[in-house]
Amino acid sequence: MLELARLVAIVGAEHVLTRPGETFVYECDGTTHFRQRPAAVVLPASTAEVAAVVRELAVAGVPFVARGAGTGLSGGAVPIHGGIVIETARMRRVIEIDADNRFARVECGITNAAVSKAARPFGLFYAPDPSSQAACTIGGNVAENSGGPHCFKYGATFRHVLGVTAVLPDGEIVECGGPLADAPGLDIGTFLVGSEGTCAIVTEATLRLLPLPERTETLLAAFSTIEIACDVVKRILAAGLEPSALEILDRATIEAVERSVYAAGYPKDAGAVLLVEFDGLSESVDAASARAQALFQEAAALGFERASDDAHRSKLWKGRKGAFGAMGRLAPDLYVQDAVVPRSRLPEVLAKVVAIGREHGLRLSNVFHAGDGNLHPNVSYDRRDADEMARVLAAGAKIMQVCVDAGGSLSGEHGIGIEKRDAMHLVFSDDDLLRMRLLREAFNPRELLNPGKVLPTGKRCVEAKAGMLEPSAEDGP
Amino acid sequence: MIEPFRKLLGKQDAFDVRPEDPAGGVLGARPKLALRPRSAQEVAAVLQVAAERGVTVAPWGGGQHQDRGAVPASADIVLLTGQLAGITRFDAADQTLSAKAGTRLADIAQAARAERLWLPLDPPGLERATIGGVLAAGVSGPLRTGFGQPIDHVLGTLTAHSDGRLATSGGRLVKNVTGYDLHRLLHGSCGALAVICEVHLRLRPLPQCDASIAVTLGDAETLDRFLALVREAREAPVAYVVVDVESARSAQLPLDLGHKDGAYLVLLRYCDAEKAVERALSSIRTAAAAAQALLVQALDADVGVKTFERIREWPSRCALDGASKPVVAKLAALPMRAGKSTLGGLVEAGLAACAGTGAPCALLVEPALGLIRFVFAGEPTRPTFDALSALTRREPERMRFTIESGPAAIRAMFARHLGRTASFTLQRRLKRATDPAGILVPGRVEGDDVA
Ligand SMILES: Cc1cc2nc3c(=O)[nH]c(=O)nc-3n(C[C@H](O)[C@H](O)[C@H](O)COP(=O)(O)OP(=O)(O)OC[C@H]3O[C@@H](n4cnc5c(N)ncnc54)[C@H](O)[C@@H]3O)c2cc1C
Repeated sequence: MLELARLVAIVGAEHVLTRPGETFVYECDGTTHFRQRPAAVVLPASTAEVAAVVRELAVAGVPFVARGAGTGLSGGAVPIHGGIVIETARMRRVIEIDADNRFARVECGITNAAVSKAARPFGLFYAPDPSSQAACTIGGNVAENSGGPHCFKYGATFRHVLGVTAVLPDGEIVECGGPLADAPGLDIGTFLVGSEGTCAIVTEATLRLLPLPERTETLLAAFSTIEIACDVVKRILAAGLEPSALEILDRATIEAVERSVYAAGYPKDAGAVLLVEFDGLSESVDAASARAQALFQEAAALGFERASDDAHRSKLWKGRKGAFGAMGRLAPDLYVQDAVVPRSRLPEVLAKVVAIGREHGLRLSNVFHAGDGNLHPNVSYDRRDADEMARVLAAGAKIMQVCVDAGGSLSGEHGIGIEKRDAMHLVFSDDDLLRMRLLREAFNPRELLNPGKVLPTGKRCVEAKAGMLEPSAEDGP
Repeated sequence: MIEPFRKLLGKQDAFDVRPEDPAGGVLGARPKLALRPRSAQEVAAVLQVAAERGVTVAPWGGGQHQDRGAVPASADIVLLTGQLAGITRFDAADQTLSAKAGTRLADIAQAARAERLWLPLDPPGLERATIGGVLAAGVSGPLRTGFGQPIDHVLGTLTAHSDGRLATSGGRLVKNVTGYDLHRLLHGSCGALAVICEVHLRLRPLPQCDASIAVTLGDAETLDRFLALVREAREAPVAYVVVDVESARSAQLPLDLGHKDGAYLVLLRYCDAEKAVERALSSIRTAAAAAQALLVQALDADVGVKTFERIREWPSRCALDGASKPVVAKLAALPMRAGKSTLGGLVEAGLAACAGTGAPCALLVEPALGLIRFVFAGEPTRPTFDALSALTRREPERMRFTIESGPAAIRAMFARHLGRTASFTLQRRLKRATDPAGILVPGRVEGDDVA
């Protein structure tokens, strides 16, 4: 039995939330269809407090889950087995910015955007830029190995984490890596990146900072069909160019965006728009941009725009960054799918995705990171409509299968969490999953930390081949 | 011991190790048996049989980097990956390539080049090193400055484990967050977790323009001034090393090394659009002038590549008599402080420490990474390591000393200088998760807490 008083003694009464009105918001994350309310929410203020809280929970055998901003899109922070949510909102300090050696040490509850903001006066920035960066935390980014439009050039979170301080599920504090190169031993820190909050609670991170690029140029080109846009991406890469971002929005997204407050002036008659960004030395950006523009013309672009200043660039990105928001306005709920395919397969996979949406009578739109083949088919729906909800999930499972059949995988950046855990069999064998389980057990032997995530469990294992998990009583009311 | 393995692999692929075979000296254990499996399934079967009989196994790729990690407690069998070779899949449009672990890096480079692609990975021993070995050893060359370490190019792996099972981690996709990434733990695991059977890689386009520049400096002070200016510059080199001029001479670099006052040679390589590279070279000239460099030489692509190649391969040519590799001690340091480079000062102190203890050494520095390597041509003794290690004691949070590689005898003698890691229990548990039978070079990684 856990006595809450013991947690209160560690963090103070005002930092232990138990009233339903307070714990209500912790019952789901950005995916609204998995819900379970925690028994209590605890807000520690330091690594030592996290460790002390975790030790109490470990002794009492109570499950617990770390939570950053709750913007996750695979149900990762949902306490599906009840227990305690450890929220990191009080751990937001920048501990150190070493501009000389280009790294920042931060507490895990700091937002992604705040890191870049703190680095900017030194002429530096933090490269991973998930669209949720104003809200999501570094702890969440580390857990999910988050990406963003610019990770095509810069790589996802794991390329930028030099080290972490973490609390193991028994309360032991471990230091992994750090700013000095070549830490001896196994690279546990980088393994923790992407482990979806199921191996350890990351309390501090040392992040690599990069010099702000001298020049950034953004191009927006409109094409009559999405196939042509994808073909242009292929040509850009075949020409040896290395853009920092390569994003495509389809016609349904353009329409939604242009009808919303995120209207960016995208041509409404276009089948797709392609956003290409180059950054680096002026000379290198000029050369690449000129080449890309020539490729647009060869592909009979309906038109294109070029932005070299911040204001114009923000305008071109506005529609892309607001795409989820614009889609979200079309219906009460938005289902953001996330899957990856080899980018050469994008045109055929997209055609199938659109057909699946149509077959299921859904409002489906596509906005995606074309450079790395990372699809985001979005469905605007109403979860109170049971029939529509069922169609959304059925379509989601089919889309997943189409992507896997094309040599793709389940997630490019949102993670497996609860949402796709039972689809893991689509890409991994029993032996693969067993090894993953053993790895997790090395950190989290009793599965007290974030239980029921990432790997299929018992009975579900067998049923799983059918596809994605449907929300059920077991996963929350 | 040999019979069950012969049954699995056939006579020609399971044989006794001859005393003159290279394995012994570097590894520190004397394998009796060599096996050459041809597939991942055969590797898994071999491991299962070995586990049942309690015999230990050392995976062996090109044999280029066996001189790392602690000395294993035992290695009864050497598992050669030479027949586990070949490119299994190459999707040029997706810029991805998969290869069996025993594929030589040189073969991957050649295949990539034919499609105007590049695997920017240039560890020492490149001609013979295998992709599996390089990932397991976690070794890189000068291109690490621009493109990172082996793991940064790896999208996924297929591994064989001592419970006889195979495991896939990651995949062939350039972006993917599906499942736990075992492949990240393999980096630098020195074969102690699993036998890597196949590796999936991300390639990059060949650079449009590639040029290098060499700058000769007279002392540590001007070196520091120059390094700080390079750090300030907007143009970022993809390869960047400093060597002492004497070593540059013995490495026979294809440059003018004649300046009588030259002490340090800085080599920088730039890959970008043509005009951007031109600008980088001109900004280096300006920096060199400001730092009172003695000599500046621009090198065209071929000469530049050859220069870096020689520098990369040269330390292994300084090996002790009878050993295939030299002893390399490594200082990792934060390279900058208050806008000034700290490396020149450290280099000088390090060289003095070595000379003072009668162990002359050569120098190989990667300034962008803060890595200073002392390469010993003779046999260094304890006082030398103690003196080097003492340098870090003043500011342990800014510096760390380790022995990177060397013959087994040295590694065993100086185990405590191999480096210490955070959680030994966690490392051991990870070893057990991946090598449940505990037969893969036991003690090599998880045992490096030997005091
Ligand atoms: C509008 C919108 C846009 C998005 N765009 C992107 C995008 O472009 N790219 C992208 O990759 N993702 C994107 N996401 C998904 C989400 O923002 C990321 O996954 C983000 O990293 C989650 O951070 P969080 O702080 O909200 O984490 P949470 O949702 O609170 O938690 C996510 C997971 O991390 C774990 N966790 C949290 N903190 C810690 C910690 N300190 N230690 C260990 N585990 C921890 C949790 O247990 C959980 O499993 C988007 C989401 C939304 C709603």
